[in-house]
Amino acid sequence: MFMDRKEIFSRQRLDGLWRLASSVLSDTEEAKDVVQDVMMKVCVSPAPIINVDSYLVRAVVNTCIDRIRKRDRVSELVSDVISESRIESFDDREIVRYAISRLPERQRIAVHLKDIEGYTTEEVAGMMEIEENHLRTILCRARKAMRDIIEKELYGEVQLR
Amino acid sequence: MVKYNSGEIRKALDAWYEARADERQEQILRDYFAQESPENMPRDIRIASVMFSGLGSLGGESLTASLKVPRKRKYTTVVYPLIAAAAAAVLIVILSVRRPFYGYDYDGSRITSRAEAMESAGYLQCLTLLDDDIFMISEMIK
Repeated sequence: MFMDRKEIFSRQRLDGLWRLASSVLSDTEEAKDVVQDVMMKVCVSPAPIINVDSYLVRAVVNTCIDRIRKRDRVSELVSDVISESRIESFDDREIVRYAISRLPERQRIAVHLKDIEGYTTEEVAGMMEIEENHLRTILCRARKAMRDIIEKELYGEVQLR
Repeated sequence: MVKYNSGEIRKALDAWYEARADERQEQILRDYFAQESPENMPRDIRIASVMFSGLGSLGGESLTASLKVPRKRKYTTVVYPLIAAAAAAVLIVILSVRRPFYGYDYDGSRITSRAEAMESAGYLQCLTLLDDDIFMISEMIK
């Protein structure tokens, strides 16, 4: 059953897409632009959409990755050092947001979809177009990396394990 | 409130870091971190507590919550003014349709009937004539 275009963008779905873009880009304002771009593309495209969530997540992720690459190309051209984002407070949410921002793109996407949006492993693997075992590997690395980042922020050092 | 032993928590946490935790283990971890205070937690559990808390908070962020949605007009803001306007119009119509007023009766009541007014006028005329007669008689007596 194909969904009518205007029914696709419920508040819940828009919030989820914005959160995803914010995690991937580490920028909530730019995330709004991404969501708007995706909405425009979906409304204009005549192709029928079968699995809406999967389609929209992939669209948002691809748009974010394009922007990140454009950002990196620009920074190379002007030889600027992009300053790393720092946490401004020790609020749990901000610490975790910072930790996610330090992860590579794929790990950010995997953690966001699984641990923030609550999709199942199978669903996330489908959205990222990878095998479940591969997804588990990405998630494992991401969670351990986040653990180390958070430990360093809270205690100033990382204990040997 | 369910009490979990530390062994169960550590086992679930290790599985979670390996991305091998099943649904039950993930639920145990969510419940545990939601109900336990982080102050007395060992270091590694405290770190996981921050992670779960932060991930949960990020999942609650909303873009659309800050958007203003035009409120639907309430029934009362449309209907009540209409009723008041209609009532005012009826009142104006009623007041504008004046009932004829011919005068006052001997007891002070308003005479609004033409027939009653004619009758009253007749009585007053008679009294006037009678008054003239009484005057003539009083003059004759003098």
